[in-house]
Amino acid sequence: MSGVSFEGVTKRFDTVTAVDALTLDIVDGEFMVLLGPSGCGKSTALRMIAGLETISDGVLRIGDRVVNNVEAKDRDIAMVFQSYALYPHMTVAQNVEFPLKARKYSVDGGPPRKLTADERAERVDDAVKTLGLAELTKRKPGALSGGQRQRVALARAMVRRPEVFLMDEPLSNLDAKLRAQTRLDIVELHREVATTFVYVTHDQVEAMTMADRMAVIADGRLQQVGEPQTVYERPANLFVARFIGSPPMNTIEGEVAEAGVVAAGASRIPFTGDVAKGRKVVVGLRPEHLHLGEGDIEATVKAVEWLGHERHVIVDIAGSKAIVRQETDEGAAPRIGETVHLGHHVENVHVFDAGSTERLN
Amino acid sequence: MTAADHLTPIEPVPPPARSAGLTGAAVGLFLQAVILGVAGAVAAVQALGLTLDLLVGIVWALVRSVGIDAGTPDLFPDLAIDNLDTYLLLAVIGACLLLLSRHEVRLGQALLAGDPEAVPSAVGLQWWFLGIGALFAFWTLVITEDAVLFPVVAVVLPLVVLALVAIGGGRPFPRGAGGDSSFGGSERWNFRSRTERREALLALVFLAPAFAVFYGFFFYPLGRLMHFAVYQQNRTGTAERYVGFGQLTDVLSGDEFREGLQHTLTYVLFTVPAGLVLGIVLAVVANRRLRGIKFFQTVLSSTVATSVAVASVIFFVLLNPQVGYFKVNWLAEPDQVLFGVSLSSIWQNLGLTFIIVLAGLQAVPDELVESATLDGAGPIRRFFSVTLPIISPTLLFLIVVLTVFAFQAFAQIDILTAGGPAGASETLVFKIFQRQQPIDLGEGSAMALGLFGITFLVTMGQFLILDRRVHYGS
Repeated sequence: MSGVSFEGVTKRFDTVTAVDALTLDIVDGEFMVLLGPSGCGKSTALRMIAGLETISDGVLRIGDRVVNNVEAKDRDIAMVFQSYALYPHMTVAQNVEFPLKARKYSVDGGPPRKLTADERAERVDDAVKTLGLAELTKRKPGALSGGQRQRVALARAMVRRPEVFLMDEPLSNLDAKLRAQTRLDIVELHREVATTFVYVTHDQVEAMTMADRMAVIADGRLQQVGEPQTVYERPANLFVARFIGSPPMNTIEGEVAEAGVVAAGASRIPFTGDVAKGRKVVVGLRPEHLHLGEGDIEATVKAVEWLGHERHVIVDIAGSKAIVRQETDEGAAPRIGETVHLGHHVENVHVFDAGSTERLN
Repeated sequence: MTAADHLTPIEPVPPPARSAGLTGAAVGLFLQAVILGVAGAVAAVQALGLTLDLLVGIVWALVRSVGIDAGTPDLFPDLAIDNLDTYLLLAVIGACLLLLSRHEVRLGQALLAGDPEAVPSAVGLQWWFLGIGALFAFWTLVITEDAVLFPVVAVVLPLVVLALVAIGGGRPFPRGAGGDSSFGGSERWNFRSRTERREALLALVFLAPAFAVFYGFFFYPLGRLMHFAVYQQNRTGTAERYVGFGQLTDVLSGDEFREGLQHTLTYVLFTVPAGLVLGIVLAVVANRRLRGIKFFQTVLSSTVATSVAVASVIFFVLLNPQVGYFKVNWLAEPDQVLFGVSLSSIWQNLGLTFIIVLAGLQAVPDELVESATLDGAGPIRRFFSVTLPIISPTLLFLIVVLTVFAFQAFAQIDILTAGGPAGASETLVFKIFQRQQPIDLGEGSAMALGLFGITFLVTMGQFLILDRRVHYGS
């Protein structure tokens, strides 16, 4: 068990900077999710922990050890790949056993040595039982379903009892139902093995539901680190605000007209916090924080989407498109083309600088 | 009241009704049985008659040899003990046909009785029937070359069979579980629909060009080869006489064939493993993402574009004892000559091996190798435990192809040594090549058949033994 720390770690491929001066401390035993759109550098960061990518600049530590120049096979890391990377010519049992054969292990604090066949069999047995694969040990990966393959990959990772678990979009090849179930399984596995997990995904639902803390990355740069609730409630900049949340946060351009009030077209949006008068800002309001009825925001209804338990009312506020979430029991849907008024609580208004996109309140 | 009480009781499945289709099929079987029975009987009677003739001839010869017959005419001048194999073969064929006929009668009865098991058997029997018909056609072609019988058997029989397949009431292709045609798992004897019939005819039309090519360039020459193997030509090739399978067995058990086989196998041992290992090593080395690696990949695969003649001349010069690079006398030493020749073949085949192994390596997913690295495996374990098993189908293919190449090697031997010194590099193909004169044609053909058989067996063996250790991707 060890934490992982990035200190100004940079990865350049020729002219492209995939990871730009990343500084991030992953605490021992933590479930850290690296979240970002595809191509943002999160997988590269993960592969640098694994040792599959060299580090162009900066210092990477696993525990107290600087690992910049430690080879992948000599780091005590297990990784679950997006494709699972099971060895197709080996049975499930052989797949799970492979890391035990390839590496020396220290048993009961003794010096590292090769495990005996019995010790290996015992560990494999443990792992396949934990993941409910006991019936399948003699099958080859080709004869397994996607979910079963995924569990074999997990078993192969956990049989090692590594310092750090890395997971690169492990759920993206599963169907929606299985994905929800496996999310819970992985969280439970984390609780059981109590080891550092670094988990890469582009899916904010996975990040929100599984992470102890999450790191939002865009364009190779870290945007915000924090517990999912903090990131959701107080996004550090416009990117995080728009990336987290579904449907995404509404953003309306405007100008601070007087202390605590933004003017956007005909609407006046009050907020909390100190922002200088006359500053160009972008106001962020989550769809669930807007209510049809009385209020200071004037909007025109463009469309209504019915989702069963709720409606998404798509409106135009001072030239910006916005979504208002309306519970189905909150009265009838507005008519298209109708002008409506929207209400909100002042503490739910996020204000970002129009230039730097940083949070202002 | 339990839930089960609401369920409708399952009705017993009624026994299959005797349909018009089944009756028709049974009648067809009976007809076939009659034809087979007659043919079998004819063959058996003929074999019996010939054997009797032979016995009489032997007795007659014995009688004459003790000198009782002074002055009696030679009654059986054509009778030769050599032809015994022909009579035996005829007898075996006759017996088989009779057995088949009896089996058909039984199947027909079972069909009429509505036995569902009989349907797949009847279908299977049609395939046996087709196969035996094809063999019979081949036999006719080889042995008799009868001007009337050959075209009938070789052309009309397949046409009749194909037409039956396409139009006929019975479906020789059992319907598989997915509704597609396959050899296994038939449970229904369906009549073809109009669409299916048209599809079958269309399939025949599309198959016809391939069949024509195979017939002209493979089946027909193979038939001629078998013919020559059992005939003896005169000096000018204007006349031939049947000498029977004795020629084949004599040649295949003779010293010449054994010696040629020995040389060929030595050559295989020299070229195949070394060529394969070298190719793998070079492909592994060149399978990297480095700047300029394409240049090396091109160089290493360039021998593909080199002809055997060019490769041979290059090695002729390299190995020349006076002006060569190595200045060795391998090509002139009987115990080193095959090694010398194999160097040129190894070099020449290296390009092909390299390209194919490289393609195999590039198809290995990066993630598997990365995963093995994280699992703690070093480069050697990664190669032997992960990469090699994944490219094993490629390697099996290469082993088979390189072995067949080595069995067929000719030009390099002809150019480098012309079979010398003292016949020490005469491989089987070379010995066959030496027997071009009409009078040697029988012997050469027998050798060629032997080589064909051995190559076939070796390849089958490789598939059977190695296929179990080969992993085909999921």
